[in-house]
Amino acid sequence: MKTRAMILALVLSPAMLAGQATVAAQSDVRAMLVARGIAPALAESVAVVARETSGRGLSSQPVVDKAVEGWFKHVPPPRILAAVRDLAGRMDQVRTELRGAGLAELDGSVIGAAAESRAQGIVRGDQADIIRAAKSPTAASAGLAVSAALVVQGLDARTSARLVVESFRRGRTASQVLDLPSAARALQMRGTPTSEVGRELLEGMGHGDDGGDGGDHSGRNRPRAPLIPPRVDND
Amino acid sequence: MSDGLTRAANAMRDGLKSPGPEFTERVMAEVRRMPAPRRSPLHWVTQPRVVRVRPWFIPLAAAALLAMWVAGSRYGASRGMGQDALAVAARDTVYVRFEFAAPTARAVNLAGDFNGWKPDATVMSRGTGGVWVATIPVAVGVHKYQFVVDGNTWVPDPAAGTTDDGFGGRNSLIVVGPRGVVRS
Repeated sequence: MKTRAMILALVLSPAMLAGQATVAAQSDVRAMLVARGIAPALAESVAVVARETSGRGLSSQPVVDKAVEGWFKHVPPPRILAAVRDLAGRMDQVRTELRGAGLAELDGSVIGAAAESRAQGIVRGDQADIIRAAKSPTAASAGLAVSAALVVQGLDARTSARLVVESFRRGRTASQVLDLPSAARALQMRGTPTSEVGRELLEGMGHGDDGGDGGDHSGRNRPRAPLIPPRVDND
Repeated sequence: MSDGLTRAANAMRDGLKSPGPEFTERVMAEVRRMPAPRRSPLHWVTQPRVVRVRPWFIPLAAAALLAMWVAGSRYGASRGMGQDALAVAARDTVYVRFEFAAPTARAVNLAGDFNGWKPDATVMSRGTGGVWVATIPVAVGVHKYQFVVDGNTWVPDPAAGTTDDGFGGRNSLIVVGPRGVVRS
């Protein structure tokens, strides 16, 4: 009898802890949102969406961030709630699609970045190629975000994804991949048509270069001169 | 009076016959034939009992709880809780100069995912020609932002590419790489 009681205690403890953790997480999200000035009613609703998102194994952080962004922009609460639900739904959909592409276990940040890049037209196959080519979840997130940024710069989605994939395959780190938009912009400012920018960068990679700047395959610490002086102040 | 009652009680007791051992056996046989009462699955949980906890069980239970706590923390971390999902791609930080021309504005602030979208977090300074300027450290990565004019008007950066913000507006996009900044 005593043994049964101990076994029962050990079996029930994780369930009780999991339940407490879920409630605590929801309370934490609500408290955090309220602390940031969000109305308690909206905070409660967002916390519920965040809990559902976490319950599906997705990161709730993008949902929380989106709610905060909407609140500070004075967006009406119903619209904020609709936006966070839409974001959570898109993350769920992207994860399902990437699972269909054979990527079963994905980090939450990668799924968030994939949802963002999908909005810029990066399709499932290209997303899967970027994630597979990246060496870590951090690199995959950066690669997906860069591919989306390149589309915003005017490159077509397929070329943007190929640039990121090829960079990773040639040993570039996440930080180095973040230089791709800078190299693309440099070519654009030199007068290269946007439709040609991707091709030139890909050809440059073929020669161990990402745009004529003496590309470095050995590591990110070696200083490389940019194509043009970027708009940056390093104090 | 009392003696009368006692006598009456004794007379009644003497009149009673002992049932004998065969009666007890017959009753118990009948009881054994009856089906056992159904017990709730939670019977032995709700039934009070004495539980003796042996000394070795306490550290074992503490270790089990600690293991579950650590596993839960790591699970939460792996799910990105407490992280900026897209914003931080590396630990490097770069000072970025933001500029916005608004000659008639009384105040311009900068809000983005790098400062939690707080409109009052980054106050821009008015420069020459009505150009407002702010230079702030931004983590290497891809970021979204807008300018806040006179405290209530959110405006995307005309010098940067934009993406849908999900609320019917447009966020400006900035890619902060180790070598430089591109406003996509």
